Amino acid sequence: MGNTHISLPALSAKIYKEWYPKTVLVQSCDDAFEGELNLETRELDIPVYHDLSIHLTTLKEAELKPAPIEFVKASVKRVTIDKGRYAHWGQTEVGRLVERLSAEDSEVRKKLVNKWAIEAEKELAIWCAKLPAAQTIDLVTALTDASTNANGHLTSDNVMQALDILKAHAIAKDMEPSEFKLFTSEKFESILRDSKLVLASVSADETFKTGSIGVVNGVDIRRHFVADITTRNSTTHVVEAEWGIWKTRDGIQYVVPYKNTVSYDLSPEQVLMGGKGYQTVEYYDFFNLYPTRLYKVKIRYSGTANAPTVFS
Amino acid sequence: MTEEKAPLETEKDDLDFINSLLNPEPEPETEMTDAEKAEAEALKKKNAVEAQKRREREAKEKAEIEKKAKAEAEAKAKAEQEAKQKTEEETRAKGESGNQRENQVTELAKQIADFRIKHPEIDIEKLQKDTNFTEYLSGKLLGKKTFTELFESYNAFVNRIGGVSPKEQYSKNADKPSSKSANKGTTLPEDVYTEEEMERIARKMPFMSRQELEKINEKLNRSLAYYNKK
Repeated sequence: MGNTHISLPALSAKIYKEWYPKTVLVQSCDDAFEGELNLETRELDIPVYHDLSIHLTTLKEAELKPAPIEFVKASVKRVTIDKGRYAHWGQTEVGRLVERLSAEDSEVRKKLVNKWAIEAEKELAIWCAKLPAAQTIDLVTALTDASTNANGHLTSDNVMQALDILKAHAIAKDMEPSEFKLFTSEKFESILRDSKLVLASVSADETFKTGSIGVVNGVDIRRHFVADITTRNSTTHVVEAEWGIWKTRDGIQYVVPYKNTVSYDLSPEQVLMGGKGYQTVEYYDFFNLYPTRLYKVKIRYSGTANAPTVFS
Repeated sequence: MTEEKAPLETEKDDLDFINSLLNPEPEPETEMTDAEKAEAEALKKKNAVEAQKRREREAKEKAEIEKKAKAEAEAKAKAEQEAKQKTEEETRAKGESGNQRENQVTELAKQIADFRIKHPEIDIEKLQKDTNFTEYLSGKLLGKKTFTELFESYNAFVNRIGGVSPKEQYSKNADKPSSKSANKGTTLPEDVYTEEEMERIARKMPFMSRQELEKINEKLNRSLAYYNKK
């Protein structure tokens, strides 16, 4: 059986399956969607949760009053997928690049997968850093103390206070703080280590996930690797300020509803002896359907540095 | 300095002028000579002839215009008549071709029904997806040979060139597990997808979610390895 027709979509599936676990932010998002992507309209349904109402009654009445039925299945939000990423490559008739890429230990695919993971992570982090003021928690202002901490630095002495502030934001909006996770740079982790706090582990499964640091003061903390949302010292490159991300799983809906590899012939004018061109493509997009479940956190570690406002 | 006339003299002049206007002197009648009379008569006759000619010419032009208009009207009516006739003919021809197609469909249905009776073991839905068979049929269908005869000759042709016999390939029992002795080489291991399943998965795979991909991943890898070795 000639299996080229299955090996191409299988290759796309393999790339997707491999880049996804390499991410920290992307992996922490809700990736549920319903139905099949309509390639013409690019529309997709995303399930919307937490929309069931609780009705109050009194026991004296000894009966539950009928309330309007709410259909869970009907609660979907139709979105338009607007982003795509692709890799473009070819092979001559002599080479067999598809087989090499599909092989379990393919070095070429590893490089491709790493690049896709980095791109996805970076785009999502910058998008979070551009959230509006209403979705900002300013720890610099909150930690400022005229006598002891004039610049509002986050240090090993006030890190617990900072975590309490984050939890308080969730509680104030009637949400459960344990649903939230904090995503920060390596600097935050080093401050936690300096404070000699006990880092509890979440679960064996979670501990081995990329970026997992542990649970401190009831807050699950993850380390991301996106330098673009940090301000670093020009000499030492140590983080001086950054945007942290405080979110629940459904704070961001990150969907990849279509991934494929297509092939086409290359003429001998393009490549000596002719050959095959390939394009691995993914359509994706991300959304914030619940604004109260996603925040950017302004953090300062030293001097008067500010989290970046301009992104490349 | 101009010399002015005496008032009396001026009045007299005016009076003469007025009289001359009121009582014009009759022009002296001149008697026509014979030659002049003849000339006048000739002129009269000439004018009469020219008037006659002009009337004749106008009548002729009018007749020509009328004739032309009539010819045009006739040509138009003829063209309309022809167009109408042509439309009717086309409608009739269309009806005839529709009938012809209907007859062809009926005939083909009859031939396929006969084929089903003669070869009940053949899965006709699979057979019609065979592009080689479709190409083989091209131009032969509804000709001298029936569908059954065409299938049998195609079967013989494939056997002759050493291909997989369509009778075996499209047998309804082909997918079912058979006895160990028969079909020994074509049975699939239980933990790999069939070729049809692989094709279906290939079409669906670009739209699968991560969770769906996880579910099929192991079996798919086994299947790919199996078909690669084959």
